Amino acid sequence: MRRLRARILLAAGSIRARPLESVLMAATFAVVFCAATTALGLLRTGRREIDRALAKLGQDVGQAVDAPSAGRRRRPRPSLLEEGDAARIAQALGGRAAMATVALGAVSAAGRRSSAIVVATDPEWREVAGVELAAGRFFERSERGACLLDDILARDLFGSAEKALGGRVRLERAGAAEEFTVRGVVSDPIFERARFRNLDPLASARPILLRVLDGICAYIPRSGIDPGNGHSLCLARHPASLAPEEAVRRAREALGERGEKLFAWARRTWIERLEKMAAYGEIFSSAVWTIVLALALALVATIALLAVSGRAAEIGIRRAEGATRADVCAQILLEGLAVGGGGALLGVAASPAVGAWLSRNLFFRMSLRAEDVLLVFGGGLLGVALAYLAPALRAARLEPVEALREL
Amino acid sequence: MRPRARAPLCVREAALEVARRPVRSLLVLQAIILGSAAGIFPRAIYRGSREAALTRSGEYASDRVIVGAADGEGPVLPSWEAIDELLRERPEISAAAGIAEREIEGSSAFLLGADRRDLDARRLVLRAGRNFSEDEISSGAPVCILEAQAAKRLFPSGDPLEKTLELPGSEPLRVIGVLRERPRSVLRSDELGLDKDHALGLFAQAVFASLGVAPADLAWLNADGNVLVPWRRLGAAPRWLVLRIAPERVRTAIPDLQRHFALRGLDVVVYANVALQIFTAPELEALVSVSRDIFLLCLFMGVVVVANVALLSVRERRREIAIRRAEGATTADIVLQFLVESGVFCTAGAAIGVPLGILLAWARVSLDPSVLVRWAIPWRDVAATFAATFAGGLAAGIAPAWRAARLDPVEVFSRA
Repeated sequence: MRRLRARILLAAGSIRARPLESVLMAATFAVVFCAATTALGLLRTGRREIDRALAKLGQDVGQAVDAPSAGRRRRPRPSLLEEGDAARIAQALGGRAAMATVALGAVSAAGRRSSAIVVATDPEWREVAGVELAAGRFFERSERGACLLDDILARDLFGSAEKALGGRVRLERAGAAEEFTVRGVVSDPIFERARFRNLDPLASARPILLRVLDGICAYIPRSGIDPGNGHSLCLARHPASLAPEEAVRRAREALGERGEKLFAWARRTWIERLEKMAAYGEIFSSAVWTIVLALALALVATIALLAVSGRAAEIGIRRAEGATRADVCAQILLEGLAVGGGGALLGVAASPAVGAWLSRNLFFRMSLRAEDVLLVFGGGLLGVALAYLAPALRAARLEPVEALREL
Repeated sequence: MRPRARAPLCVREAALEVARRPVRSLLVLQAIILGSAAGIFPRAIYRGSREAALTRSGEYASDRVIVGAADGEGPVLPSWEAIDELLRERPEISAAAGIAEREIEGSSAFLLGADRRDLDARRLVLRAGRNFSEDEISSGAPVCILEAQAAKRLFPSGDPLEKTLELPGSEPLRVIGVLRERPRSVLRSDELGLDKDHALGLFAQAVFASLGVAPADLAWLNADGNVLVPWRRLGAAPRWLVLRIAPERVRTAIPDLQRHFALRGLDVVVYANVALQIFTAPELEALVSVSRDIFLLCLFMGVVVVANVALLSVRERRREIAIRRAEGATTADIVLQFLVESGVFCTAGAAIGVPLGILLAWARVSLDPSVLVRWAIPWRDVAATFAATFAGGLAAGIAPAWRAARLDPVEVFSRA
């Protein structure tokens, strides 16, 4: 214990004797640790945000539509979906279902116009779709003249969700027009999509039934405006324990012959595909991060070697005074860990600010978790110890006679 | 030799230092190299793609918008006359043409019913002959215009003009015009701007399909062997609309188009170059600026590392410094030497990182199946990168320069 204390004091004295070098070395460690922590924080936060948004899309939701997304049908044709199908499907799945008619329309308010996906549905839609409200409430079944807007649409027309409440909107479709009062605004489940909506170039090429999640919906009671040749869909929420393929099969079965002609899909299958893509992206990014970190540690080792090789005379004097190889090795290692530890604390402390600055243009704000900090800090200090090992061993192998020739 | 005249030698010395210890230099400069590459790479693609989209729209069909019925089968408009109404209401459309198609039996080509505007809307250029007249369009006269490959295939031996063309399932047609071959880049580009011949084209289509976009039935679009006839000969309403809209207005025109059709009770899908819509979105500039932030952070890291290494190297070079002082170099000369060396050393990192960024851009473009994704050297950003790294290098040289300037040559020589 006394020996350890002596070594620690020696290391501290050595650091104090070279303030400029020590500060620069600590700064080097600080930037490396800051970069590593920030990169990890950004990766992990991005992945969490993507997972959170995908979960909000409804893993237990499926839809049956009578207009296949990429199929062919002769027009005109009456809808395959009938009244009562929602109840049949809900019973078959052991969950809940809601009918809707979906069409593209134009919406205007306060002198502004926008395209909108008009969803004429029942109040059950809220629970089935897992709708969260940013403001107001959902309409009642027989509440004519009421509507809800998606958050993006509300902001386009009124500037904010709060200002949209109580506002009047005019919905137009196929030559018909009707006015509605906004009773509620639906939250966008997908993070800050509004900031980047112009980066979705495929929106216009998707069939209307696949655009219900585009965030530009206007929801009206089914007793409202007749959207003309809109497309019928039945949205259903099934128990989480039911596999998506089984849910689709049961929904088709519940509708008999008509079910074979309908297009039914479960969101979970699509969400899992997206999660897989996100996972591949994370693996790739993590691999790049690891390689860059390894290069950074190689850099640290190079600098440490350079630092130690310039202290040959000092080491020679210490050996001549009676220090053992173990003493020299321990001194170098302790110096490295002290400077590295100090730099690591600074770097990790600065990481939230750096991450906030970097992520100001992204779709999320970086947040650090304790396990991420511990991973970087612990792993980093181990890396520092490894980086200083070679220089420490090299210094310990120096013969006093050779070292003193430097003087 | 006056010590001041050795300034150019500092530049040479710094460059030689990189060459003498390449591995160590690469390790020390890795932050600057990676930061420069990260800063230049997205800018190169952004600049190249925007330039291609906005100034070479004829070459890449970036001004082409195709509208079709949402169910993939029905007419996009109830009549050909409705196209005039569309042009009146949407002034951003510079040209519009309707297309109705029918496969030619025993061939992969199509009989395309069109009007006089087709040539302008699809940027088709006549090699010989003339366009349809209004009378021929309104009467459905038995005349036709041949696309380039159709002329070669159907009339291999001579000039097809004024000759009679007999096709299965159609009455004889008189050839009144022959079109020039279209640029290969246009023929390769599908409705979303993907290169049909690209190795990763199928992968991109699979990704688009998972996002809800299935390939449209537009086989006629990328063929150069179609036969154009007045639309009345096919007796069908237009199934597709081909519009020409200035590339910088395509993105904002699309929602207006969909609204136009929605107000008339028509559900349509609108296809336009995917890359164009991304590269003309104002939000992309904000995302690309993240690369600048990364560059600045990496530069800061690099400056700290270079300062550290340079400070440690002062001890290695103490004899050299002492000799220079003995030769008459002043403190200012020593300081200038170390500052310039640091500046040039860091700039060497940018000199490696910038080409690396360009190389990454080239590789990325090669992997992208979109015809519009191109790269170009962003000269302003390159100049800014070099200037910033040199300035950073100067900052990195402050501590070592101060340490070197304080060296006492007498003390150094007395220890030698």
